[in-house]
Amino acid sequence: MAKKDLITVVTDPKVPLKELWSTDDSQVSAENPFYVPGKGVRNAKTKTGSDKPFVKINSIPVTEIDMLVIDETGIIPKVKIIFVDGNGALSGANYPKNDPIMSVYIKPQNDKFKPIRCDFLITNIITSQDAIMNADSIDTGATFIMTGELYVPKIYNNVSKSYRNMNSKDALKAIASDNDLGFACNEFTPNDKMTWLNTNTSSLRFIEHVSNHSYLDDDTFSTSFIDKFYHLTFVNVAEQLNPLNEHNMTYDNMVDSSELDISQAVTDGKNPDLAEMLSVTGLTNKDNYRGKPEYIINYSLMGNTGSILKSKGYKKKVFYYDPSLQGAERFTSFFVNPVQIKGYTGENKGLEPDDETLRESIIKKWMNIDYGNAHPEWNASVLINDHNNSELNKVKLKVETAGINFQVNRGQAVPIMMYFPPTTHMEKNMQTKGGNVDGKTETPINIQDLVPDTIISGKYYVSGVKYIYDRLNPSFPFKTEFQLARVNWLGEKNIVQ
Amino acid sequence: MLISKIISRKRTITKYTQQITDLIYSTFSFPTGSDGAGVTAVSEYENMRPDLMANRLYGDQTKWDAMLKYNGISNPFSVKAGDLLYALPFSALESVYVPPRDIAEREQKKETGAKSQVVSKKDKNRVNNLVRKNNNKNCDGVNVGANGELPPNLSKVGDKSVKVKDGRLVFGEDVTTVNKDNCPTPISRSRLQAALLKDKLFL
Repeated sequence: MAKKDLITVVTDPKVPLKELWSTDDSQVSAENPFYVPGKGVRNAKTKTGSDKPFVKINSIPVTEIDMLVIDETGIIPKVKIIFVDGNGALSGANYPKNDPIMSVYIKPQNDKFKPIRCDFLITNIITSQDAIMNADSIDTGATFIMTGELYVPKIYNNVSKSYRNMNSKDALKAIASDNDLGFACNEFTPNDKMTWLNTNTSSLRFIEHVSNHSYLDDDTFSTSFIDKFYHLTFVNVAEQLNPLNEHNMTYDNMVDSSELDISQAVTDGKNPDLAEMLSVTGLTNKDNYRGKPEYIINYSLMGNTGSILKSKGYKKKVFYYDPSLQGAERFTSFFVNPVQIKGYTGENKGLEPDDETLRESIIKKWMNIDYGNAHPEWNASVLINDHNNSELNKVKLKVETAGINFQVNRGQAVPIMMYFPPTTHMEKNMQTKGGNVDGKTETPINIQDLVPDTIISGKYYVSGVKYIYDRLNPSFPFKTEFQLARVNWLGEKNIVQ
Repeated sequence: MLISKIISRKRTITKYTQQITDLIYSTFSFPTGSDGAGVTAVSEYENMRPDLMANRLYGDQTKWDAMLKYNGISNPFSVKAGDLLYALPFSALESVYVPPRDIAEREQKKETGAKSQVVSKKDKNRVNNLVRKNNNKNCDGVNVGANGELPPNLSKVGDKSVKVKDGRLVFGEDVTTVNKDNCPTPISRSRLQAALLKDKLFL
């Protein structure tokens, strides 16, 4: 039996991508007849996509990228790019009119990982018109701001189709196949066999519909999204939050600005042993990880508790009409509470309000008539999923890591080990040992003596990821921003080894 | 006319619109057996005519090039009356002509090297056993699914971030398995025009 919190690929994607290419300058060819071997020079194969993203729009390479953000927080990945069209290549005939596709490639430092290779449908373009119109300053080029979303050719087509006698997982797998998407999930079998009907809506909306009505039991909830590798990912989120699951192992990312030669050797396959080095899929701010993609350079908490309590309540009272029952029982109601995450003892210590009014305030929800033609938990499932997914948004930990982190994906369960910043630790040390509190000590800080932050540390569910390239940030041009969610903020198992 | 089969079998390459014969790879294989037909002398009549010699020895004048190659002679007109030549064994006449070896592109050569990962049926079973033994970890120790399914961020065996194709570097082609059924040959104006002209729909 596989690890229950591990998301694996069930079927591979078949979405046709545009060919993204550049000339091979490492050898003579028809494309490169004037080959001059350079000594110690990084060629296009090793360089492209590693110093900055490789982007092409209408076969025109975009070279002067100021910023690129790939946003994996919604149901489908989105992109935003700011660049200067220095030579005016995109301002004329190649302006993305008929073929508004932006191809993006970011290279992993270890070939064991897939690269980020996405085709985005450009949905919006803002251009600095002045630069184009003013012939005197044409040298500066126009600045383009483009936004787009992952191009899955058939995802917005209206479909009328039934998925007969399937549980939600099989239905989503079939929808993924119909749209040439791959399918990935963690191991669980929902108890919601029925005939799923797509009544002339887009596949994207139908994916949300099926996912919202998926049901395993009252203690679990699920969500789904399309990832940057073109997989429709269906996740049993409650399982991802279980602290008793062992940590997942994956390959080392090998990105380290101080060890560029090593990471390059790994990429070129010169040192296969290094490429097969393993590390725990996790993130930390421990000092000896500095420079690695799992090293947290920045973190903050994002809170939305009041707003969610206001609109959704801590618990909901649900009403519906069931014609199959007798008399007054036909008008039925039940409560929906946040689920108790497995692995934690006692009550939910996380986000239950202390204020009794907030805790007991009732949000009533009318769920229509249950005709009995769907699975038995049709009404409950949509509320359990919606209520618990909202619960995750109440407080989130936002962390930033240097470089592109290819190890941690959206939907995964990751252990986070946070330590107090050295200055705070030094002050504490001084206070306990009776030294002076000016922050200066003669003994260096021992890594073993670092004090873990038991509130922030612990196991999280990766609810969103942003991959950021910012040319104007010379220290960390590439960054990965993770949005991490959990329910039990005061859990007793926050120290992860 | 002397037509050499050894030369005509050489591979040709097109470089800058010119056809060039690649002389590097051999199209002649020396016979391994030592049962030669002995030694023969060039007669007066056969002066500068190896084709006549081949006709006398083998009944086939086209075998002159193999006969000279066997004797290490590259200029057919240097054969003089009175010269003694080794006769190529009759049994090896056909087997000495071989096609030139396939030249792998630099990138392909690398892939077929010692570190290449060929997945045979046996290998697959072995990997599956290792997965089961290692509590759902692959042979490297990375967590995988019950049947060896990989997490979405990991490349499959043989997948490459960058591929070399016709002097081009193609990036991230293996991220998806392209469904060719859904993307037939793309429509282009010239192709459409050609199709209309061919079907005489548009004159």
